[in-house]
Amino acid sequence: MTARAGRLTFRRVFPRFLRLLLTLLAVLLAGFYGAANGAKRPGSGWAFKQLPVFVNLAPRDVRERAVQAMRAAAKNDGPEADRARAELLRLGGAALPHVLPQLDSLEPSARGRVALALGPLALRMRVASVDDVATPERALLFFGRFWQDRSIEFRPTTVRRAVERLAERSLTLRRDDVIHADTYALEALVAALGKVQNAGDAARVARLHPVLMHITGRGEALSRTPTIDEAMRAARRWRELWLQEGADYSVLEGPRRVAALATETQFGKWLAQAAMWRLGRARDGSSVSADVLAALPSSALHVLFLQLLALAVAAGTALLDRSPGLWTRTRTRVAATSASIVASYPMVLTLALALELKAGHAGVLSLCAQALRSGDVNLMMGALLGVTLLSELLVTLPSRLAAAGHGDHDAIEDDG
Amino acid sequence: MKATAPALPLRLAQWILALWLVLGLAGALLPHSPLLLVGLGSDVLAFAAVLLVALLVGVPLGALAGSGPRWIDVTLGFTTDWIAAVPVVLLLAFLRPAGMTPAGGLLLLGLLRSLEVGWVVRSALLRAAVVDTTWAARSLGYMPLTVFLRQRLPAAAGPALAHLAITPVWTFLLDAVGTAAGLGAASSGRSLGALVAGSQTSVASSVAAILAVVALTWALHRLGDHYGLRLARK
Repeated sequence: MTARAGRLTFRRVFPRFLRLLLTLLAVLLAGFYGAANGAKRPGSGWAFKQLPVFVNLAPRDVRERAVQAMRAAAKNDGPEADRARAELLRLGGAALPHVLPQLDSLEPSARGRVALALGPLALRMRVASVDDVATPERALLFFGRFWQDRSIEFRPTTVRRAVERLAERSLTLRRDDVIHADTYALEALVAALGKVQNAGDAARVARLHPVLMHITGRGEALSRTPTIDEAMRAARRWRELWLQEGADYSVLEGPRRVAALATETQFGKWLAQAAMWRLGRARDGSSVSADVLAALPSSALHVLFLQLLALAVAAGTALLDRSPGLWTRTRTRVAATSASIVASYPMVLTLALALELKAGHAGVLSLCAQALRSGDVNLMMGALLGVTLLSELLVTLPSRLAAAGHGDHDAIEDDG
Repeated sequence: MKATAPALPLRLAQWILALWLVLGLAGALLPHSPLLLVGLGSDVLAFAAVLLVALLVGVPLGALAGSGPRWIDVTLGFTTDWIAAVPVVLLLAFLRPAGMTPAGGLLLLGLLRSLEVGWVVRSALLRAAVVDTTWAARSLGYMPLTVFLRQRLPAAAGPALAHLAITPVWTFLLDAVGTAAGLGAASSGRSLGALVAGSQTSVASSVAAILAVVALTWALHRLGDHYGLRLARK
């Protein structure tokens, strides 16, 4: 039993769908390579340009960063030591489980310098007074005791529970529990923001937002009762921060380290952004999906116009020929022209781009070229996705005509 | 009279090709040549390089896809699908890394062109296989390679040469659209396409450049038609 020609069956649709997926993947990979190259220029606004493009063979996590910063901060004063001390403060509480147990491996004076560098962190965590960390000796003594008493609190489950309690109700004690963990609680805090859909969610964000601001030293204060939109924007900004710097505050081991080979790359970050925020935002702050959807009809019209023009010329030349068999001749020429259109489809798209540039009607093709020129990765990839889907859709017309000309519908599977 | 009618366009095509070569070489070699002549020189080199790569890579690739192992056909089909999904001018911009040499750029252009040519050759070979009249000869013990070289490959020569003939227009359009879109010319910044898309070019120069490229394409098409037919008859 074979399916009738032209009928939609799983056997016909599945390979075509698989091919479309593979094409989409190949286009995205090639396009991203170009976009990442374009984003290298200064002022492109691409936040992940320091990462490898597709594979990160040596993803760096908080442990590696903290130990490296500790060794550099242990040196005598100098620009490198200053940078390392600033880095230790940025890494914050998340660095403590990797720095404090290793202090003993340093010589006494270096140990004191590192402890003194961690002083401002202890103040931020509200676990020390200024006097406690005023000199290297005092700071060293303080951090020794601190780790003895509180190392048990630096566990994911303990911190997650503290964050959950804070998300439910904001009390000073609950706030302090989370602030004591500092950036160690960042992952749990960002996860606890959750989806913002109603007033209850907005209130939860309002409870977590000040703590996040205190820990990171970033962000703008929200009103006491923020609107849902304000809360959504705030939650989005924290998620963006986590996407950009999350690996700096977490330990990558086991499956997470394996996943980081792909996730801690420019492509991985773009993919995460695209999945979380519908292709993300362009450099000018506009929504990429909205920009692409608005530009698609113009490009579709240009491509369709070119296809119909070519077919009309083919049919016209058949009419001019005065030999007998007009209908057969026209069908043959239209089929042959359709096959040529399919074979030269990238050129049809190039001509459509030329039309867009000449006419000044911004379509998705010119949007793609413009974004590539300016190094706007999100917009370029969104536009490229639009171009690929558009061309896959519109090439169906000449494919069908060419196949009909050959009297064989299955030819579409092979030629299209 | 019947014999002279097809000879005249053929002779004209040969003259156009010769004129292109002479003017192109002059433009490439003479210092301080006018921009149009420089463009012709740049394009002669680019067209020759792209045509050569497309011929050397595209035809064997298409031949293998049309009659060789199935995986080559599937791979070529997938690659063609992939390339067909985006404008060539954008694809070039994606794949061309910063600081690529002009020779590398032309090689990339030739490889992209060879994929299209390969697909045309593959399709022509499959069509030839459907109407293959040599099965009786093959059943009597003739080598399939002989059959392939004498029967099927010449049948694919016509479509392949016709497709190769549009290479000048193809390259010219890529140069022009790439320049207009701000992505850089595909072959060279001194090409005719870049000249036409440039803002300071006069209308007369643009018209002359377009006519030159169209005439060359026509000439190559004519010559391809003629020699393709001769090859098929052999």
